[in-house]
Amino acid sequence: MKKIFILVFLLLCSLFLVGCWDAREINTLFIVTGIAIDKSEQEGFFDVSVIGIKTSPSRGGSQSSDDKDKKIVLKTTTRSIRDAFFHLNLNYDRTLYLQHNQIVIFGEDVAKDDLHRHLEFFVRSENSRMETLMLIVEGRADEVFKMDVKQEQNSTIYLFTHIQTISRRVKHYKISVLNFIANLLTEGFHSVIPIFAVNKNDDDDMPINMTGFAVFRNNKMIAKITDLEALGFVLLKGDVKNTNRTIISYDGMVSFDFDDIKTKKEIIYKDNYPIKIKITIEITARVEELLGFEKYSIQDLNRELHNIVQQEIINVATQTFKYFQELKVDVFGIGLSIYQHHPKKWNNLRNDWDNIFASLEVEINPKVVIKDYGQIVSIYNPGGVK
Amino acid sequence: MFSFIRRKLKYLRNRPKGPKDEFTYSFLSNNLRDNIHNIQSIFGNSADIVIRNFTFGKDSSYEGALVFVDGLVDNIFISRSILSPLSDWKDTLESKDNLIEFIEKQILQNPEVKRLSTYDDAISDCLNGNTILFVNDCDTCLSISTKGFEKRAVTEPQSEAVVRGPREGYTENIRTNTSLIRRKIKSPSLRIENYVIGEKSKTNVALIYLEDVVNPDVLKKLRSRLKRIKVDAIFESGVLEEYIEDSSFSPFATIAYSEKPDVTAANILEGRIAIVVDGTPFVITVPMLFIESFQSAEDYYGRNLYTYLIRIVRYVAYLIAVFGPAFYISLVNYHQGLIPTTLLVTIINAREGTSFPIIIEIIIMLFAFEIMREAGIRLPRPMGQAISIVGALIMGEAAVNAGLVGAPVVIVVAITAVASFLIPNQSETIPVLRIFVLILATFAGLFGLVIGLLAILIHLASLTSFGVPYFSGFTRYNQDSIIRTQLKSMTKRPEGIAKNNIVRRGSNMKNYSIKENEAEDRVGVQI
Amino acid sequence: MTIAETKISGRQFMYSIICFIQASAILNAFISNITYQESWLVVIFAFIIFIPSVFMYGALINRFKDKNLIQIVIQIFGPILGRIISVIYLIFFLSITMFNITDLTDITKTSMLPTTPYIILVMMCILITAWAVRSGLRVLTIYSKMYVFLASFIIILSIIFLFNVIEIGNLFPIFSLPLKKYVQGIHILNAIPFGELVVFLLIAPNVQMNKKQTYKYFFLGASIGAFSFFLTVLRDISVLGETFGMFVFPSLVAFRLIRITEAITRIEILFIVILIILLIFKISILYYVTVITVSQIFNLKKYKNIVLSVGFFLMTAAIVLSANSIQHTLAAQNGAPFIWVTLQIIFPFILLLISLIFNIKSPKEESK
Repeated sequence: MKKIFILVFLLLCSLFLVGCWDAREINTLFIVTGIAIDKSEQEGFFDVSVIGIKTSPSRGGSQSSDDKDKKIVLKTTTRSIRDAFFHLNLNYDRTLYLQHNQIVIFGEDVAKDDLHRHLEFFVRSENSRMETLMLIVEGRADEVFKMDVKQEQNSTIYLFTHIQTISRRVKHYKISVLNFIANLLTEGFHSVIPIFAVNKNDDDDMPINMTGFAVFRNNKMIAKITDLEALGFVLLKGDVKNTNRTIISYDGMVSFDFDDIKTKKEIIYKDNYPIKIKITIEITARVEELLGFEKYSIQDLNRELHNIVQQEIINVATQTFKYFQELKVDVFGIGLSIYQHHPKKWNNLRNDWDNIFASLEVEINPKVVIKDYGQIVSIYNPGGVK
Repeated sequence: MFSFIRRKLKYLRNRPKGPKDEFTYSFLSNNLRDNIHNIQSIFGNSADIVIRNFTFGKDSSYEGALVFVDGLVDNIFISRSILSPLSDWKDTLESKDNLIEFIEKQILQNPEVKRLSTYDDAISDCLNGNTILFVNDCDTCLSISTKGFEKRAVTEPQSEAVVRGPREGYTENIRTNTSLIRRKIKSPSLRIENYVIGEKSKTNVALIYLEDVVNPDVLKKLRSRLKRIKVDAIFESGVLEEYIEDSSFSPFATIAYSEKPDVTAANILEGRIAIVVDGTPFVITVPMLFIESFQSAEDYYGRNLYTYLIRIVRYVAYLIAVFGPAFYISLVNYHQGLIPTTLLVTIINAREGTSFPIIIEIIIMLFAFEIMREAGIRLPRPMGQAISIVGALIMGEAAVNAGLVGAPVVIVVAITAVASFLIPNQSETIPVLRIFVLILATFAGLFGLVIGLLAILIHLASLTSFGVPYFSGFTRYNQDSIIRTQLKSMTKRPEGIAKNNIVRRGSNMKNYSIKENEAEDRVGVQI
Repeated sequence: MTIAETKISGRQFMYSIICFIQASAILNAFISNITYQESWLVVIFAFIIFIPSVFMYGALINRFKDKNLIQIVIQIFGPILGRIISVIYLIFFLSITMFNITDLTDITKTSMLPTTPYIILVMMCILITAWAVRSGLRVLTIYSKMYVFLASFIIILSIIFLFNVIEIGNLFPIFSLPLKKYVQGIHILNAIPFGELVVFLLIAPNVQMNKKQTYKYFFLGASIGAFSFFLTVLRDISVLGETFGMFVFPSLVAFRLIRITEAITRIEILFIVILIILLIFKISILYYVTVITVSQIFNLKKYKNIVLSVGFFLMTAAIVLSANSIQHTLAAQNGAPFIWVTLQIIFPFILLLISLIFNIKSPKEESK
């Protein structure tokens, strides 16, 4: 029995002493935190840039805080993304390490032209994680990497934290690669991606702003929505923790916080054919800022504010819905809910759904409860007539 | 090559077969001069053997001699209890046949007297501190217990300090140790069996167990193993441990030791057997379960809920101590994607300035820690503490600043090292296991670490301690293994160890409730 | 060590069964690209159809106390024909073991150690399992309780952590696929996770349980295992939605999505560790069963000596097999279920029928 042990031990030794194949020393890695993809001037080629963290030796806790030294940007122009990484690995002294990649940024021109073909690499590669966020930038994507960020390490970490912060209130501001691919594969549903714009003004400490959403149909971007339609989209999608709206009416200005928006959709059929959709939006509102309204007493004020809010919501939501109906894009998942609950009916409607969607009647039914008015009871009117 | 094989075979055939037996079993002779002469030649005229010739009886008609070893006996005791009554006796007996018996039963005033008839009995008793009394014309001698050597007083044990609990510890004398145990267990079914092991050292070894609770199979196995030992000397219970344990190449100790009598007494009450070895204050108990290493005596003297926490802390500390460096290296060398990004950047920054690969850094730091630990034990007491603290601080700090090792490695090794001190019983297994798992993790990352974990688990499962499976005892997890419940619910003794008498205490003991006390109070108030 | 020496308790038997099925729960890719989002329905139906087989196994164990499957076959069909059939079973057990070793090395290679050669991983796995098998049945199953609790804890923890990503709507629609897809899914599930319980017929003689307890432990074990399988599939589908059918390793993707504050991220490490432990447990039981079969066919008294030989055979077979993972998946989906269901369910049923008709039973023991 001892002989078998020795034999096995020698075998093990001979195999292990050849080397450890997968060990990578961590100071030979280049940690990629963001990838940007743009269209190049050459036909069929793409500009791929990656940004990573620059590490510097720290002994006893001292670190250089010079702004220019914190980030490293690598660029290349190739036909496909895998080619790009291969090329970059060949021409840089450290190996690219993709597992910490947090954001994929697409330029506007790439988004207009078959976005999902670039995502195929991210889904297939074992190195990338599905929780990577994606967004579209107006103009060229590598502008983002040139941004000056004072607080964070580099601009993609800034962006990532930025998106995490705003998506805590409205979860539709954040979309990951997995969500996008799942949306592309889902029937009866079209997706939107948040779109950002880089601030060209160098003095500003807010280098990038979110301007709205980009609407996709058949894997191509077809339109951008901003401001009013973005709010309407958020209201109609529902499941939002907190958003706000300032309404200016005849008597004054009031700014509301909408908490806990829940949206229910009910489809009304006639002969197995959907003709009308009733959307119930439940909102808990809070008054955050109130100016004017001097002539109203407390009860009248309450009723008036309710009316104002309900009217505003109906306007915004109807306008948004009609906008999407004009585009013939069902971003709200109405087709998806028919597919999930009545798959037999969906079989008949599947091919023509975009037109059917465009011809639906819409009725918005807001249920607003103004829960609280803040710390002061009476109307704020210093220096005015009592 | 063939000559090598031939030499090997010749050596195997003519190998020495073990230590030779001492003495001869020859009987004492009648003649006093011959006896004394033989004794002197056996001892070879050593300077500390004292032979006191004297006469007693009416008209000094009888001759006698005392043989004892100076330094092992109490001189005053000899003169007062042996020489004095003998010299006061001024009579004769009718016949010389029962002279020795008469002396033994009527004259001597010592509490322990034995009659011996062979040389080696007499010699071994003499070397144990007894006085041998030879009388002319008698072929037996008397061995009188007069032990009076220097021994240490009962003090607090140094290796097991407690905050609350008895502070008595064993000493090097076997009789003191057994008496300490007797004082804890005052039951007549506590048995003590004596063995003499070691050809030259003739060490007294005592087995202590409770007759109605112990597992008879374990007892039988232990007795046969003790009888099998043929060795020169046994100085410490650790040496005895290695001769009687199940598998001596395993890193795990299958025999527990302790320096405190209450710990040993608790083990005996659960059905284990304690082995006391003369000359060492460490008493070993057999069989041992893995779980015992995580129990300390204080657990039972303190509060219930606090002990829950402390037990959990001990288990977690054990895991950290064994798997800490291996886990760190598998994450940092193989699976960098599993570390959060900011932490990874910090580790890379710390690694940038250093020149060795991380595995070499870890090995250097582990080695340095072992050096410091050994140095701290060997240093003389006044210098020890200062140098170990200063050494640790300076070595860590300076090494990081000089760029030899990175700061995260120092932290990992420091936490690992400190965590291994929480479980004193396992302090000899943890470094071995740690290195094994570290090597596996270096070659195969997390997969290697899992394989190492499974290897340790399989080894633990197949280990037995005198026939009792080593890893049992987790089944009654809510009583004493993982957490310690209230003392009143620990109703049964551990399974494999106590076969006969499983029920430990009554299971319907209730706590006192407040209402009971109130009722008593109310009765007393009567106006 | 002879075969019928060690006795394990009935509870450890039950925990081993649960562990066995949970190990396969993690590799649910083999039905994910057939029934996509309705796999959870298929799991429920497959288990309902499997329940009669559980009772059939229990009846077979009870009729032939202290005899394992191979001994039953040899007793019923006689020495020569019985041995031929046992050889078929031996090939079956060898192929299951090989497939599982290939699964383990594939998963390790794709998710953790991409460039390590197969031989190292296979060799380490075989060495550890060979050591466990040599140490006996008691060592093999003693940790099953701990593994079951760990695995269940991880599953429940993952469901709790994924609460904000789970969308119940992903589970619908139901019954939208053609019927033959459901039948195929149920067939595959009966062959691969559930049908492999036939190996416990070879361990049952070493278990201490009476007639009623046999049914109880087998049924409880199978149902709790199937329940955790069901929970895993449910969680994966509700997290991944439409992309469920795309991934080779859906559970890993689901675990990577856990993100609760900055601290609790990247905990797929827990999952990987548990997965490797469970798979090695499963492989060690299958290895033990293979070795027992070989020793029964050749009438050996001790099986300890042939453990390493069988191990080297398995090692070479697994290395050859793991070179091509697409064929492996195709074989598991298209070819394997037919042969395996025959050997796992239909053949023991035939054995039971024959023993009932001709009243062949194992002689009763005197004690107990």
